[in-house]
Amino acid sequence: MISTDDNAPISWAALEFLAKSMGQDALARQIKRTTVSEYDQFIDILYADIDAIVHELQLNPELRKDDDEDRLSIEIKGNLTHLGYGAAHESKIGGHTDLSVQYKGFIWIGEAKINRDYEHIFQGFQQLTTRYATGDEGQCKGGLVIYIKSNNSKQVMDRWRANLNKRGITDLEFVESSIRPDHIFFTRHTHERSGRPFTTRHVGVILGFDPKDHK
Amino acid sequence: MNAESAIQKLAIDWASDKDVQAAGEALIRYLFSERSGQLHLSFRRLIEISNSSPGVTFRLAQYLTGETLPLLKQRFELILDDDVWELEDNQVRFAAVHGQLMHPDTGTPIPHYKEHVFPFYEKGDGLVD
Repeated sequence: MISTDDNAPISWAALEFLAKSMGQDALARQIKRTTVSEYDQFIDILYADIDAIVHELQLNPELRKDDDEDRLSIEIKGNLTHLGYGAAHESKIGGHTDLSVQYKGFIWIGEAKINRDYEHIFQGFQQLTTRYATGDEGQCKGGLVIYIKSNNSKQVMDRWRANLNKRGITDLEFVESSIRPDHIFFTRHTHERSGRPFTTRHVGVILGFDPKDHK
Repeated sequence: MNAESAIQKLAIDWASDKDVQAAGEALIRYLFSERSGQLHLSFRRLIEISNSSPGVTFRLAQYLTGETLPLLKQRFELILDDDVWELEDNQVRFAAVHGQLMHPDTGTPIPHYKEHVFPFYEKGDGLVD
């Protein structure tokens, strides 16, 4: 029996219940975040948190239809800050990164692009992997966030994947995602500067808004 | 860091949420007034100090236990009958990841552990001189 009455001490179960408006797993995510001690733990919870933020962003595409890359990235950055991350937009790490996240000594960098064309998205991939990320330990994973404002976002991601595969990137491998597999995939390739494997998480954000009822 | 600079930082990060700003200001003022002593605040106490709803308090606690304004550290204690154990981060993490909490003394799983575990808050790095 969960007690949330005015005087009872608030247990884990009660707090989980009270925090549900922030998502079913809000408390579990908070605990995983505050108890991070290894880089992979940091990456796992950061990706879960980014997915929750993307889920919220996608709910109201009509509010985002005029937003550019910067505005959308600032929204993600703001939400990450609220969760306790040291998040920044345009911070100086080898250039001005769209999203950088620091937490307990770990760093993650993300580049964000609107799906104007595949060359534009590739530019983001190149910025992430050859300009911003050192590829060193604790910085060998990054993200490419693709804001898709057209219809059929799955097709955009499929075509982006095929386009990237033709670019002749050294040792490029594709890895499936168990979460939102039509809109998320991973690539691994040899990072030029460090010579180490670098993993990129490609995340498609569905922001198309083309209602057919009021034309 | 002092209370005013912390409140300023909070106001920037939560510019679009007046509820969290107001709750945060009250909590930050309390935390700095008590910074010389030991802190052991229950979640219920955080609600009272911030004079806000549980939802707002939860959001505020997430923020204040994070990297930007680390004024609180979240801990958990296990209370069974009259016995109390302060849990280590790795024990709590194991429970959050695997859905099982092992008894600190016997090592056996505790049934319905979420009803016997209580969050509390200590001073975070931003309050330590």
